[in-house]
Amino acid sequence: MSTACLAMPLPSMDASRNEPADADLVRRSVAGDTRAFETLYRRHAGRVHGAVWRLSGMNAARAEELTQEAFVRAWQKLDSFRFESAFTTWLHRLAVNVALMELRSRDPEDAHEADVLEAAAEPVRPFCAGERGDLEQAVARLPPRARAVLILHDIEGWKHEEIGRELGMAVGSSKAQLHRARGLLRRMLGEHHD
Amino acid sequence: MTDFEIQRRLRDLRGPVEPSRDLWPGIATRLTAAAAPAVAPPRRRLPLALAAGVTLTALAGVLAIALQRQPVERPLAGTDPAILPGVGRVPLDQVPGGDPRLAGATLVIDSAQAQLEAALEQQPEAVFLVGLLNRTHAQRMKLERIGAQAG
Amino acid sequence: MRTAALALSLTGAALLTVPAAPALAAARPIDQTVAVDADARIDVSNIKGSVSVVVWDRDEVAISGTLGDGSKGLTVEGGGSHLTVRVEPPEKSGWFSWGADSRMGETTLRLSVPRRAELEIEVVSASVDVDGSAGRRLSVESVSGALRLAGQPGECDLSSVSGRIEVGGCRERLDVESVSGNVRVRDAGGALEFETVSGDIDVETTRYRTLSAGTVSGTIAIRGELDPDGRVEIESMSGDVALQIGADASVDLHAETFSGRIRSDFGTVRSEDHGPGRSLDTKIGSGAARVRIETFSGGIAITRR
Repeated sequence: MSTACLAMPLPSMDASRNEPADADLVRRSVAGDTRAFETLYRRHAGRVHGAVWRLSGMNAARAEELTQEAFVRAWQKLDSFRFESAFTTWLHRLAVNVALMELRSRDPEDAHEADVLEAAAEPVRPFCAGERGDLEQAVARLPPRARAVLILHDIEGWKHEEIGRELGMAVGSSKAQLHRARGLLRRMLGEHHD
Repeated sequence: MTDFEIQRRLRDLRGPVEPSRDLWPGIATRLTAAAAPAVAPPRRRLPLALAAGVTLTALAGVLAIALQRQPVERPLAGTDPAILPGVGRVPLDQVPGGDPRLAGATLVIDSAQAQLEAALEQQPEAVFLVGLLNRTHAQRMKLERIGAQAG
Repeated sequence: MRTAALALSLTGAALLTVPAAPALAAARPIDQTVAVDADARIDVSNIKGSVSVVVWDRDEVAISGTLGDGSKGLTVEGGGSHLTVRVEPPEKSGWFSWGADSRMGETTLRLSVPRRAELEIEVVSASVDVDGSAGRRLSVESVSGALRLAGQPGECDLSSVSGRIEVGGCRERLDVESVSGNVRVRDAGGALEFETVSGDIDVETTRYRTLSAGTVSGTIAIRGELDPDGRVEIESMSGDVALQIGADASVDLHAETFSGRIRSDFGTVRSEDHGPGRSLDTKIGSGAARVRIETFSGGIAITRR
């Protein structure tokens, strides 16, 4: 089921001195070398997947789709990559945008606070071991927009201005969404624990 | 739990999460279909301009009159579109499906959104306003869905 | 039983469409009867005119009325556990077509259905009137037609853009959504949920378990007994909110507004020392039920019943 939370670093991921730098792999990929792009995928899949997994509300199937979509987009847009920034930053940003694209176009179907809290009060389904489980679950149960703002601000470290621009909302709304998300989290976590 | 603690615990969530299976084969198939980036330049994707944002700005000027009650009893399906509520007060190309029957509701929703945004500027900690804003946005999307069947 | 089953299978295969009449012909009469299960699901759609549904104690649906000019015809499909009755738009038009709407005459659709039938009704500007239904579920989607329900369905989902919605009875769950249409409820129990943009919400009922109501600029007025462990959540931007609470109720009450006024028969209203904002926090009785009201500029009035 929720195997997505098991970190499974591939042996080849250990950055060895002999491995080519991202920039070289990007150049080879732009020239059409899919093997080079595969190496980039193996190196960065965890980070990309982690970001879209959180934004999708820890939905494993959706996160896999979004990860694939992000890498396909990256391949298509590689020639627009400017080498002054780190490839990992560029890729990460692109992946987040792919995940947000869905959010921007979707019907918010936003729930009342009471409904969110009621849903959160349902029995905790088995999740991966570890103390972060309850927080992750609470985040997953937030209404999509509030969750996106919370993740972008508190996990990805974005500014409200950026979030507002990306999600098509005023800065005030972004701040309020964050406030709301934290409030909901507090109440959800409070209900599970003391 | 304080906001500070929540932020600290959230920061711990940062970091890679490996997918549960190897996604590369799926990606590779699509890359071949998409061809090499250098050979075939990427298709330009139009940025998704969110209609609501645009209309909000456009309608900011008519805020004062906007939330006037719509005549509830009047059937929208009159034969003369000019008498329908909202027609003439909102450009038809901003109405879902360009349908005059939805002009009144479009005007009501768009100005409600603008007013909510303005209220949030004054009281950013009012989280219930965000809920109202999101649900009003959902109503706008519903009009879009109805409008998509027009014509 | 055997005959009934036979009748069902026959009607199950039936697909009848009243043939299209030439343009400008007089309205065509509708008269049809189809055997259905006692708890069948019946889908009805009309564009313009009216839909009225009454119940009877027969396992049959009788359809009568007149078909408006311009409609391609009336489609009656299925039978048994699922029947569809659909007024077709003019040739080459979509269901929600402005052109079709202006070219079409009004269709009057009258249905007699089993009391326990489940109803799903979809209209554009046609009015909808449902009387006596006690099915598991009633759902109505309307764009501008007025909607009136009298009966006791289990669950009701009613939605309209600008049409007025009147409800007289819904047993377990009522969910009403409108943009500018006003909502008036005179009897409903269980879980109640209302959402409008500018439409007014006016509810008077005997007893309910939970209520959530949200509006941007409409007014909200709620009168009725809340269950001892019930929950109420009301949110409004600029619309006024009036809530009546039973004298012997037991409620944990919280109300707050940014720039509106709060008037309450219970507790003491507190004003912020600096800047705007008023709030009220009080317990009535043991405070088992929870009531939360928030507005931006709308006034809040809480009165003893």
